[in-house]
Amino acid sequence: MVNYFKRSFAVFSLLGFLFIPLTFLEFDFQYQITKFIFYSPVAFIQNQFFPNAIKNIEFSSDTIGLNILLGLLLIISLLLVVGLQFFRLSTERIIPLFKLLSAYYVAIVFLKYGFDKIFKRQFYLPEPNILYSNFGSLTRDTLFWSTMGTSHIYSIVTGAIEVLAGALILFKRTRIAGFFLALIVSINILLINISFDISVKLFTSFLLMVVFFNLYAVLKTTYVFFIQHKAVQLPASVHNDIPVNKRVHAGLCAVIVGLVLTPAISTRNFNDDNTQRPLLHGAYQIEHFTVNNDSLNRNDFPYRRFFIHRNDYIIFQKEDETMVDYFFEINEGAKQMTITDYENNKISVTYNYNAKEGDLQLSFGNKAHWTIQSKALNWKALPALQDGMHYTIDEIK
Amino acid sequence: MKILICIAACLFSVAGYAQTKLIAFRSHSGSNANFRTAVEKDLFDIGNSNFGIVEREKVDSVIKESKNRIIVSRKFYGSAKGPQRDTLTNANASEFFAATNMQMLKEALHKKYHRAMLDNIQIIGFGNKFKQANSVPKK
Repeated sequence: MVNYFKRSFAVFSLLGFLFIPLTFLEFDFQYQITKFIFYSPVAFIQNQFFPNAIKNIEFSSDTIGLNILLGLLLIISLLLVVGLQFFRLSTERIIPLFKLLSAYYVAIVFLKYGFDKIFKRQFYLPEPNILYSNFGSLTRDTLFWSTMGTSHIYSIVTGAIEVLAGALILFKRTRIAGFFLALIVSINILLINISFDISVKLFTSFLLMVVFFNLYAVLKTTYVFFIQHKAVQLPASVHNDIPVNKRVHAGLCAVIVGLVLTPAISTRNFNDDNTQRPLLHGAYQIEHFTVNNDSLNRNDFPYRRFFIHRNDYIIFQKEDETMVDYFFEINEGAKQMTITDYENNKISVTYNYNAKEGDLQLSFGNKAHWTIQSKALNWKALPALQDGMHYTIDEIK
Repeated sequence: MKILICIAACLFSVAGYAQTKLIAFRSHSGSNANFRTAVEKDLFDIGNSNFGIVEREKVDSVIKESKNRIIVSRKFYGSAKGPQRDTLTNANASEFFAATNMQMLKEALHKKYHRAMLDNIQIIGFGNKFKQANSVPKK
């Protein structure tokens, strides 16, 4: 029975590697395959039992759709192993195949996200609208992500640890050590995801189980060595792996490293904090607000500030500090923006920007003919973004 | 067995636990009330983040095929989008044809593709004055 569940979990993991749809470097065949095979059954189950689920099923992180998909993969794996045994087909190689493929899979994950941390692409510099938000008005996941984004050193160190885990896993001699490091990292990440309500709990759990399963055979040995202080040897099953030709392995490693590092190397951008932001990006204090050519008193401004986000959003901050966001498309030649809300209502805005003085004027094409005169704020000078470190509190002045 | 492993390796996907749709949405102060609308209607850039992979756009090459035809190729990293090729003519992108050096060309690229990274672009079919510059145009 134990062997049955082990093999079923191995098959489940392999199916997860194949069908959890992720996009990477310009191809989406995995999503298309998953959609082709599983969209209908997942949609049926979702519509029957989860009427409040998000309607378009993309198997996105932490959606009901993804949960259903993994449930189906689990059932398929349980039935598949039973079927193989019923037809007296060998299941001996399932676990060695899982161990081999999961090593590459976990290595890719850790290398990819380790380097994303090192290059500051994961925990990016907080946007101006976040920096000027009231602390208490931010959700825990945003707070965590933004706080992490303020420290380049921490991002590099945590990224280096993940890169180390991935690199160790790639090579057979250091694989067990790599998995132990990956186990600690994965537990920490799952704890963070749960504690700060970050919406990747399901996938992190899946990854943690894969890592744990790779270490299952050596847990007892590890306990005997560290707790009972006895001389032991790793069990034979650890070495009972599918051999991989050295050239094939070297080729796979090269492909993995290439996949992971291509975006950074091709752009020679190794620190996303320094990536050029779009035109007008920043934070602006509203100084004059006119409605139908009548100037408003400062107390009557509907908004006190607005922000331009790097992903083409304009966010207005009200006097009570709540935020309202809109998407925009910019035509720099015509100095015009088209602002769109979530109901697809559009407004045309003409802008006049003096980069030297930091003056930005927005003239809205709405019925009330708003005109906003604003001044750029030096958001990069905010305390949250200062790099200084103090060895003693005596230095604080 | 080797072939199977190679095929299996090619099917590998990369997973991650970095930025999610929700975190990306909240990064521009999106409200909970609008999140479901954005996801269900695939609005704006909501599809650019999932399982932590954030889409990044890069201009790969600019090829002048003739006096009135320039092809701009763009790549998208961490996205399902394949490479995209735009055909520019004097009618829809005159500033590209008016550019007399690399700096002007990059300014025109930045205006048209303001979200794209412009480092290390392959320039083909332009004159010697269009030698690759290392820096992107300063605003």
